[in-house]
Amino acid sequence: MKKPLMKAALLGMNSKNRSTFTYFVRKHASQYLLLAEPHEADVCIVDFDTEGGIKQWYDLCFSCQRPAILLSEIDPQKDCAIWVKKPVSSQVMEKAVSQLLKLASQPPSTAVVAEPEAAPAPQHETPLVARPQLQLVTDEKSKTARKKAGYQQDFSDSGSPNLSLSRKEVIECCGSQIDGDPGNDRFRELASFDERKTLLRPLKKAVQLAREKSCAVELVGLPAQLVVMPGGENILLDMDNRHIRHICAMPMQAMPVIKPLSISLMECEKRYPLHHRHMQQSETVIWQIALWVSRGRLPQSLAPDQPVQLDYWPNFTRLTVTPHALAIASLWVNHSLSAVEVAEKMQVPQRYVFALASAACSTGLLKQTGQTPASSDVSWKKPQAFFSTILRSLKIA
Amino acid sequence: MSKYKIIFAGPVGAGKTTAIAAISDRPPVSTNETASDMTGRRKAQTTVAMDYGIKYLDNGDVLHLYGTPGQQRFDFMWDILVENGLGLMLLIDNRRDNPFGDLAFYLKAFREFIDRTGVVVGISGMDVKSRPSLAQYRDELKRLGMAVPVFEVDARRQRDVSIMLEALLYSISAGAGA
Repeated sequence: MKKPLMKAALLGMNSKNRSTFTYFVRKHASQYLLLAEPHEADVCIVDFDTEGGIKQWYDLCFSCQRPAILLSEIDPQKDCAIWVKKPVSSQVMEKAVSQLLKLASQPPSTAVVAEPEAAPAPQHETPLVARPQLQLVTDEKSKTARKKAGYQQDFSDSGSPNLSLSRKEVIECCGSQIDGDPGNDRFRELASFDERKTLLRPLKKAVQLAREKSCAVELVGLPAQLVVMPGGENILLDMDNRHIRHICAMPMQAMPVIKPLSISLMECEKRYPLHHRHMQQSETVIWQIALWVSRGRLPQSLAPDQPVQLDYWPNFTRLTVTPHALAIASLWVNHSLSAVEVAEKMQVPQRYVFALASAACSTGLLKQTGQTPASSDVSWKKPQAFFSTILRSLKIA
Repeated sequence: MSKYKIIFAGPVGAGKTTAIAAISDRPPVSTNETASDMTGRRKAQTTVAMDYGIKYLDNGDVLHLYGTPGQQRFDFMWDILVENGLGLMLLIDNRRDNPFGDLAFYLKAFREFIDRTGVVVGISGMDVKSRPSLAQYRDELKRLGMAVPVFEVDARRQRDVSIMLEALLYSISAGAGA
């Protein structure tokens, strides 16, 4: 019998999944993997849609570049890891295990990044190198301060009583990206996304057109109907969240066509009544799509160190509230600060600030001020103890 | 045990009683009477003294929720009710003839209290009458020299009222930490 090559740990799994993957390893991968405790493991298989899984991956794999298979519904885009999209089949897992072994056999600096569903990598003359990664902040002072605040692992977010998102939904909106070092040359590139390749761009254009021409505008080429009403204030969106999220999660191969509808206002009202069950406010739709597209990153048009300010409070009662959103808004509505500074001052993960910034930017609420940030003049005071008690008690059951 | 107080104000029918009920842990105590004046056209019963709700906090403290009577002839009650209040939740009914007039009136009436504490504005009835829009309210508030949170609300929805309260607490507590 062939000797097992690698010790593997299962992280963040409930008992059912643990049993399933234990069975898989013993039945299909016993010649390569031997199940072990997390501290002894050479590689890990992680349920990345659980808080425990993300935390354990961060503690055990991220810092020492231990290779892992990350099981998740959306691509977490982590280095030194192989993403396997849920639901998982044994065939895909077998393929992922062989890629994991390849990855583990490479020295960390030249690790191959292989994802089952990733686009083919460009040809390199030199050996493949690891995908660039965000470096942890190296400033010792910041590090200590962040550690105290549970800075990187703040998934439960007791500070946001009106957060009605599940942990999975928080990850879908804000991603799971570890904070980057603003001093890193590639920080901006790695912390941003190209809006031009996403659904946001045609959607915003359609809303603008509906506003300017006062006509209904349809986005043709999507799996379901998306019509912006004349004036651009409402959108009829006949598509469930899962589908839209799926479209948002990856760069669009073919952009939908923006088509103004040549129908009269009366005909439009008849065809698309305001109280149609799929009718939503444009701001609500754009905000949500911006969150799903950004997943905790900034649009390329907004530099992480660019001072910006909220024009006014977003209409949070009709928008998705992400972790710390109201607290961030209260700071940003009063001060011109960069996204990085806001995260620093409030001691919250960058991804939460970046997600809010992306949504606010897409809905036109965030304005570039051009002011030189006088960040030392601005301090964030945590709510007094009794305010915090009230906020906790407001949490919706 | 500490006691804190939040004030709900606004014109008749804006949803003060309903908003208090949405977040109160006990059915609110209301001093409602059959409306015998112009109010009767808007609703059968109206608050004549105050509404009162209570929210128990997890450390044993309590948050008292006071709603002022909407009719202006009861304005002598307002000064009494706001004493030691943490801040003002102002509800404006968009279906009324002159909601901007209501906004200006209440902001002026509670100005001293607002200056000491803070205010958040909730616009109700926007599902029935969408104009003035939220953007127009923001402009109006800017014109009045106030950059305060303003939200579209349905007073029956706990989440809406809770978001208003959260915004009020952040805006008076931490936001302006310069």
